[in-house]
Amino acid sequence: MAELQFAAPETVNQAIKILGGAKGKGRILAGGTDLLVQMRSGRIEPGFIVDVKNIPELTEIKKEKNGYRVGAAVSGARLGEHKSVKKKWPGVVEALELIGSTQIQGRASLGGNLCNGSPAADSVPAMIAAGAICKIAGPKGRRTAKVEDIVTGPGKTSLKKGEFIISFLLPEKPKKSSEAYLRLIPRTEMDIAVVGAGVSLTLDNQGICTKARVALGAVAPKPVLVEEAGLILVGSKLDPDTLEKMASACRAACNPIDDMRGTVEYRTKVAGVLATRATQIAAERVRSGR
Amino acid sequence: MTLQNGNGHNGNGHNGSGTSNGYKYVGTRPVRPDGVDKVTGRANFGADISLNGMIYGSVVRSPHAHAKIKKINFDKALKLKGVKAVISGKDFPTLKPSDKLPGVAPLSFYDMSRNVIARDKVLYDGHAIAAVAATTQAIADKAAKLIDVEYKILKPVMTAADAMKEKAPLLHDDLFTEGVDPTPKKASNIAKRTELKLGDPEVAMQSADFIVEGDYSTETVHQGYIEPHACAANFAQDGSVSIWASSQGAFMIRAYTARLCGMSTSKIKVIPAEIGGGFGGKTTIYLEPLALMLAKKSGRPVKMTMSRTEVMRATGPTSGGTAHVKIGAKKDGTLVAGTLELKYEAGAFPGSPVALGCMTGFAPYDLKDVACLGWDVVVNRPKAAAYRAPGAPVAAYAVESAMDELAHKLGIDPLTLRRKNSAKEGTKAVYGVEFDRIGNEDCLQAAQKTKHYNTPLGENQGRGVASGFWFNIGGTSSAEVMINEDGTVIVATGSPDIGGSRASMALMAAEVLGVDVSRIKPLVADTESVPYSDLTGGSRVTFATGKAVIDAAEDAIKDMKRRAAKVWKVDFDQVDWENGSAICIENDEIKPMSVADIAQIAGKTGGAISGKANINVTKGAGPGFGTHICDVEVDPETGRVTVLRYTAIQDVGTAIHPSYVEGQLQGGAAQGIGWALNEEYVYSKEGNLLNTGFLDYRVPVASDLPMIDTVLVEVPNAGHPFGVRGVGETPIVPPLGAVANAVSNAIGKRMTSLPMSPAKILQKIDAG
Amino acid sequence: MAKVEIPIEVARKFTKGVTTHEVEASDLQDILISLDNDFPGIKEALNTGLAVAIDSSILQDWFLEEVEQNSKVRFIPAIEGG
Repeated sequence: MAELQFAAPETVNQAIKILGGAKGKGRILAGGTDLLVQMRSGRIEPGFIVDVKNIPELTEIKKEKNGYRVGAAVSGARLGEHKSVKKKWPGVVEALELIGSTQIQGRASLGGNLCNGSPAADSVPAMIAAGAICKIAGPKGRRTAKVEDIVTGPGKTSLKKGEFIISFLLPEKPKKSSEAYLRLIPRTEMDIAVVGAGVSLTLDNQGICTKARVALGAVAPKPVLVEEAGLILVGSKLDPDTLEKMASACRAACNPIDDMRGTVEYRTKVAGVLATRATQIAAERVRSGR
Repeated sequence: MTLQNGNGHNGNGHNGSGTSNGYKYVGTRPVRPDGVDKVTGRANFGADISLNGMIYGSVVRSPHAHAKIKKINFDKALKLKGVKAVISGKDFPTLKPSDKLPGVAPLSFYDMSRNVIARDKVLYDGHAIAAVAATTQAIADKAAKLIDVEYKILKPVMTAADAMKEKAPLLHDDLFTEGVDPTPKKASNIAKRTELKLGDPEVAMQSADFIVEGDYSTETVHQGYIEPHACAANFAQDGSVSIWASSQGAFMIRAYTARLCGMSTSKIKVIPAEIGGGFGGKTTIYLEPLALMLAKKSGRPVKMTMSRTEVMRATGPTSGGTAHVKIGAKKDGTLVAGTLELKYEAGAFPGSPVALGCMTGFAPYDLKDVACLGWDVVVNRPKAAAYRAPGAPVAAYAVESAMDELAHKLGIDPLTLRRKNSAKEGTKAVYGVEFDRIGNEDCLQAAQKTKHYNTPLGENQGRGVASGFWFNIGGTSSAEVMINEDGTVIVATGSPDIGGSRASMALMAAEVLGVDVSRIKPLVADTESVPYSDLTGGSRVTFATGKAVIDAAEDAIKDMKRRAAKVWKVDFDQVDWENGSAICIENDEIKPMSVADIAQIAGKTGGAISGKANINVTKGAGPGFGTHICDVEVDPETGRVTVLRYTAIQDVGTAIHPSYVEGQLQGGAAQGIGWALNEEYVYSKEGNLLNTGFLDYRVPVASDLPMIDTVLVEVPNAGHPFGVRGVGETPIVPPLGAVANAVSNAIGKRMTSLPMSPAKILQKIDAG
Repeated sequence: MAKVEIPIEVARKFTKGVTTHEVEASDLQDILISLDNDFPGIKEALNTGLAVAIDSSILQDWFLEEVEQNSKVRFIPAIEGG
């Protein structure tokens, strides 16, 4: 039986080196809420676990001139307590906070949720709607990528061998912007989204939408940015007709599977419902200044 | 923890000043003796045992739902360093179809043995085929993967409907349908047909002004106990074995394991661990014979612990099934006839609780003309085990749904309709028994009076009510009451504590002895420290074991009175027992002797003092009736259900420890709500179980449920000294119907299939 | 005379479908013997997997229980519990 190795480096460069030496058998451990479960169930058998929680860059939340930078391993509980981030990116924060339970929240991170590659990951549609940008480290240096370009299919990402995500930039928003994330689960917690919808909006002083991004989860092999849905909202006052058109665009973007968590028909229908409701919540947040 | 309750005070510790029922201890709420250890992690459950030199077992399970085992090759596994023993079905005695447990329910050891470890055929995904023991769990698990099994894959049969078809693949070529005459010569997947009838429902139905009729279906559900099955076995040099295990009956484990392993009971000692939930699922054995055989072969103590996946794939679900129900009524709501046909999936071996479904479905109603027909059908799923009121919830779901529909048709309040037709003292149930004084109508009345039932509903909300019935049983129980030297008391029974029974035993002993409950230590003894007791199940322990404790306490009192008589030099009949002391009847100048006084001089008056009782309580277990009220809100665009409010009303006889009685009502309701809304076994086309964990097998989590309010209706049971009635099972009977009626009323359409997942409800709403 | 009711399945096999019988008996064994005289083989069928109800009491584990004049005795499916 191959011995499982473990390291907890303190710098990004050390982590890159260790991963390079693991010959493709290395796995990043952030919160471990997916990794450890998959190991226990026998689904994966990594040779080297690299715990990144001792690397400051991966656990910091800091303001930058273009927005907020959130470390990839920051836990849901910590982000949820960050007043400024929560005020500006309520959709991202509420999405991350939906993962698991109170106990899981002490561990689960944005980086882990994204890199697990699940089409149903809660925080991913919210980050896509928010236009979040990943900072990636790897053997060939650092690069950036849009969140929507990371997941390529169930369990698969565009990260190259030895690469991992250091942090996310949540880009600064214009005034009168807000966002929301909603998901459907049969229970109230401890569940995987049957459908998820993240919406980010900017309104002008007349209440007309000037900017909108809509993203869906669990309705395709990967989380999807529905650009058309955003375009439909722009220029409108988010009246019922526009919302219905937007919902139709969302449904058209769905390419889900039938599985024990939901049928194609159900997921498609509910995607439109949740996108509409998330839009209304985001708009209400703009209007109420919260 | 705060328990909301319907009948009085909350809190810890009894108040000492007595209760409204006239008892000093019975009806108070002291903290259970096992409670703090359980919530702080000190309690030892099945998997917590550790023995010198202990090694670990792992089970090889079938990846196929239906296949012949052609060959098992252990070579690779045996070469792995650390592997100490391997076993397969060949290591166990071959049993015959006639090997049954004598007694009223003919338990088949032939089937049990083949369920515990497959012989020539695997009958469900997860069926145990072989096992291995090694020095670490990791090595054992790895070795299990190295055991090669060659299969001839057969076509699986997954539902009762498919299994009953003429040309369905057969699970057993030696299974012939029972209950039909003449007994068929052709093997079948239909194990048994059961028919019950009163009067002539077909003729009576013709006099009905209104008839409701419908088909209802449910899926396989699991008991969902938090603690997976676990045990450890250790052989001594003399060939005797000790088994540590968590179960609902240490004597049950001893008897079944002895039989499956070909050993005498005197060679097996079973030490009960704390149990982390059973709900009926731990009334049989799975790992114990395997651990025993691995221990025997390896010469080392062997521990085996199931994963959640193994629990879901291979242990005790209860049957999914279908029901066809028909009820006829007069315009004024008087029921004239009822019929019910049930088809239950037994799993891989016969024995679904379909007969019990037939017996219970119409039990809350006074019907002179009623018939129930049941089919017990084998399918390629794990063998059904008991689950809280086995068989009753599915039957009640169909009947209670039909009653709701009838109430709508007639324009009568659904509780009024039930009251108008309620079974009462003298009503003859379909299985032929006339009820004594029962609390059925009392519950309906209490339900109608609740604030809950009289609170208006909002938009998209619906309210459902349903009734339920369970027999409750007595059975064989033993107890010993030992008086310690300082006057404290030990109450030993052989009944594992699955619902707070130790607290109830202590309270009943305290009441009889007149000793403060804090001075009484109740314990669950091993199989060599108390005489035989039936397992904990059938809502029998507080009733029957409680009666044994009362008898044993009275026996101890007799002994203590004898000691006092000796000291006082008076005749025995001059001594009475009052408030925990012996008193001299003829001479009140003699100072009474307390338990502690008598205990102090036990040695001088004849030795240690104890009382015992070994009884079989064959009658008097009063039946339990309950009525539940459920409010839900349905999201019309997503079909998602929120349970807003829930009240469980039940006749509980005398509540010995009201908090734990309320806990039974709440727990049963919670499990029933899960059954109604989200729980189900999901199989692939090939017959592989897809949701083998709690992520996708959705039991309700705490935040899914409102506080479940309880109303304890106390109609004392004349068959028990304190009026105890079993309470554990009735509460899971009404919820399926109550929730289904609530959802149906919220959406204005009848839901006829469980679980009522959001997708299923939305489809119904959208069906126009 | 005790009034004895037997299950439909047993009746079909042994008594041409008659489910109700009057039996002179003082205990349950008497009843079995008496029925078996009239319907050979029925004793074993009633002894397997059935509980007995005497009036309103269900006996899971029955053997020699006494039966009074005019008692109603019914053989019913055995009850298990969870």
